[in-house]
Amino acid sequence: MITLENFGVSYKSFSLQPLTLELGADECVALVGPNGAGKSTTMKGLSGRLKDYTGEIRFRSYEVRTLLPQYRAWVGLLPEKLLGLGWMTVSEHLRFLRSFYPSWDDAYAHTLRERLELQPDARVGTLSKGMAVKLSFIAAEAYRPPVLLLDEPTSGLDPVVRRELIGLIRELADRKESRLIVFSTHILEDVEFVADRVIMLRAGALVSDESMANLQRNARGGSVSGLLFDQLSAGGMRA
Amino acid sequence: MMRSVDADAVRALVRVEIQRQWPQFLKMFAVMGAILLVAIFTGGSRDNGFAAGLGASLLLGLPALAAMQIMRDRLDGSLEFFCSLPVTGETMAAARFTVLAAIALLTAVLNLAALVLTDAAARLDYPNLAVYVGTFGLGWAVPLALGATTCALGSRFRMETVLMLPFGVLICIAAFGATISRYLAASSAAAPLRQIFVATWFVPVATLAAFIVCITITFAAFRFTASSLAAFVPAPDRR
Repeated sequence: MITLENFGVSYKSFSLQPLTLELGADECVALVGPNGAGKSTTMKGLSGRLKDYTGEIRFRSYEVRTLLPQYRAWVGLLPEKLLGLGWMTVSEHLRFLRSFYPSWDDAYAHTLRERLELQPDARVGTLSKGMAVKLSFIAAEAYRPPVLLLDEPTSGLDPVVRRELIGLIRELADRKESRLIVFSTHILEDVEFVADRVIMLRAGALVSDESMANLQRNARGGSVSGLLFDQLSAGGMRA
Repeated sequence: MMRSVDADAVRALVRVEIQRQWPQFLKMFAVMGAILLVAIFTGGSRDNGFAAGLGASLLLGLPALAAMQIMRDRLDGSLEFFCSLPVTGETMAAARFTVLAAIALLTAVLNLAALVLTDAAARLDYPNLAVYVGTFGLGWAVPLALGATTCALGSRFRMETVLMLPFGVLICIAAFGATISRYLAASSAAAPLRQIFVATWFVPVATLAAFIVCITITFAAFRFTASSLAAFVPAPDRR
């Protein structure tokens, strides 16, 4: 569904080495790595929010930059920070977004909101971190985009909300609706529970790209998160 | 392919812009209205200087609104939110300019109402209201439209940096001001307007205020349009 071909960026303080990846439909991919590994940059590239990069990012064989801004209607993004207008209520925020996505499903948005126990009349600007993530998740998922990108969705959440969200992501992945789900995280336990495939980045370079089945085999009965932690620590970095 | 200006998206953006602007707009006119009432009851409104001051204040309200809007967008991250929507920069600019032009027109009408309530408009020729409203309402829309068009052309030919040069803006303003001055000096249609201007010393103050408005709002328009181009071409990650 999405192909990265020698995708790379070069900034003053950071560079992402050319990355070549094939991300297919029905995959749930975890991007893991320590801070500064290049996860967010890769997510930005995948979501069509980068312009200065080398190589190509292709969505269904079209270079993403040529598909903008339409491409954003095919990609649901849960950003690290909630994007919205603070004075709006949750329901106003969702109603506003509905105008921009032809495939927006009101009933589905309502179901997600009820399930995630988000108050419709709460002000966007006053939401706690957990509630803001929930709202971002609904905003990204309510139009059932073929590509769902979740940038550190569980970072800073309390265990209850985290488990709730991870369960929901796993549920979406299990539906096998020909959608690609990519999430970045440095919480390795989440990876073990959700991902079908794990791509590890460190200091702007690809370290490994393995299926969960392979990782489980390599873990030899131990935990995959432990194995991933060892791989990350081997580079002298902490996850 | 996505239309360059999407009417549904413009409507949604205009609605949200009005919701955002309305409280500030209301506050500004409540204050002005209160001053006007006090002046009428105390007899101060017979002073032409009062009318001039009132007109100038109302004229200056608009760029204040535009400036506040841009500042707010930058401070609260709403610009980033708008730029994340699947709409073209032209759509966003169209919505923003529609709202500002509507506010300009409303300001002109209220300005006129204030003049009618004071002695400054004693010799106002009612059939020529359209000339007044047109000059002050739509006259402000011209630099806005000019800014948008120039920015759109600039982005098409990738000259964003050149467009940010203040010299270009000042040349546009000077050309606009010269045209309006010539029109006011020569046109018989503008005679009633000129008569009012000559009868009061509203002319120099209003002209100065209008000039300041034009400069401020054109800068604001240019800055906003240049920023909104981020939707057309996503902003690079500059870390």
